[in-house]
Amino acid sequence: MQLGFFISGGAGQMMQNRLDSISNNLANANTIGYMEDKTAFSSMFSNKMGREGSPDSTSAASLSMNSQYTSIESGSIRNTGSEFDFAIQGKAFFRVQMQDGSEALTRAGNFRMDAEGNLKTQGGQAVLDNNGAPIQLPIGKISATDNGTIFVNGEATSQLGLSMLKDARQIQKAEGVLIRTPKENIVEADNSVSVHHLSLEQSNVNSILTMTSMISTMREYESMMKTLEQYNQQASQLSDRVGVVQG
Amino acid sequence: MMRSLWTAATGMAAQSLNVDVISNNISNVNTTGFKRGRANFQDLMYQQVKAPGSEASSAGTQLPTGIQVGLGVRAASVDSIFSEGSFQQTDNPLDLTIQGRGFFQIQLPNGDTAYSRDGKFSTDSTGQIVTQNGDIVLPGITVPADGQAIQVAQDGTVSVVQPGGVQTILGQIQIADFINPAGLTHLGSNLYQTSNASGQAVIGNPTENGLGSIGQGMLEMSNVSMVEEMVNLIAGQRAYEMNSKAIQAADEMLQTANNVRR
Repeated sequence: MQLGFFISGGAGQMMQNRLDSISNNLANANTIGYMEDKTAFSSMFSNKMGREGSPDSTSAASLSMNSQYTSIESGSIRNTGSEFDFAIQGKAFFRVQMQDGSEALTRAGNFRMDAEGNLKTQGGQAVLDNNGAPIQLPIGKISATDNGTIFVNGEATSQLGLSMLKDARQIQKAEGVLIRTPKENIVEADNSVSVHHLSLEQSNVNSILTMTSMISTMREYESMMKTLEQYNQQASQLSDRVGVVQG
Repeated sequence: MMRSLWTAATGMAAQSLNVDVISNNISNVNTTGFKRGRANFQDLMYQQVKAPGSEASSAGTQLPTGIQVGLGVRAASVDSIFSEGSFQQTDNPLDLTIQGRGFFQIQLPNGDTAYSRDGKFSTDSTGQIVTQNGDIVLPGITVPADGQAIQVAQDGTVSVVQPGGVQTILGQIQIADFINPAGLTHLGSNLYQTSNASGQAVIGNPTENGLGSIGQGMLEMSNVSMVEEMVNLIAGQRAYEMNSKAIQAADEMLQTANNVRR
């Protein structure tokens, strides 16, 4: 069987995977704090034909989607006027506590409160302060400064915990606009980061680029299928024609 | 089948909810005391295709990043934004506003208490101060038939001038505050009710303990900003379109696969 059959078929499969990831980006184009997934392809293996080192040795490779990364570029910041909305300028994250007690990070600052005054994410995770304790606010008017200190009726009550990543590749996304990363990868945010109250960060999905890559993915898929067709034709001609004496 | 078909479908469903909320905001742009709603979205679970840190080769090298395929979006909540609307001068003595935090307490016909920011009040046949729906404004203040020139002070004290120029204090309007107003349940007719998320009502006199003050002869307009809603509407509609295109792309790819000549 021709190796190219499987190469083009496999590539088609990878294009489908890429479209899956593009669809997820588009579905979340209006999700506050969502960070776009990007797909990178690389060749998986090569198959040497001919003797090693000989000038006519050729190789074939099959495409494999073996890496995907999350872009942590900032989305644009929009003023909303809602008092539980916070946006981060700079590459930092809010610290939140998962139900199992572990810590996760998020850039979605559209918080809400529960009946006890605990600040929560939309997914219900507790928002942590700079000491890692859940933030609880008394009743009153909320304001905040750009280092994340929250004032209630003019009195400083809490400071939002902000963390940065050492290696932005070592992250895993989780449901609810959260990211998980090993503890060693988290450092406290530096002075380059500021918090905007009454504002939210939009998703960082660039819709034009995403639509463009959607189209190119589709077309690449089509050409892979065409290649497959060519191989198929070749194979059928091989079985039909070879050995037939014409004339 | 391709995941992207369903992923894009969740995107369309989410954007359609978004447009629903925006339409409700726009239709209530002139509703007294209306607070605009906002749909919040979250990404769905991720399918782990390859975990980061898994073995990449027999030599023990590890993958720096894995493959996670997201499965779309879902609505996390639709919450009301309780920012203050602008005030409109009406000069009607029973048009009241709360400047700052707090809600008027309204008694529903079934005896429950509801809460409202809409201060468009009137008196009924017995002289009681009621809402536009005829529900009593707590703590139930009755204006005597011969009372003239109703005065409502900043702290909620209601007084009238009776014949002979005697000023009589009728009562004090008390207002309620909540630790989490966004958690209140909507009853329609500009009314809210407490829920497990809002916390219990903290009742007090206006201007005390961080509560707002009462303004007379004014109404609080809705806090809907038309420009913002229109921009959100456009963004929502375009996001809806993009998701439909993603469905189309997935469909075309499947069609291509089906048409591969055998």
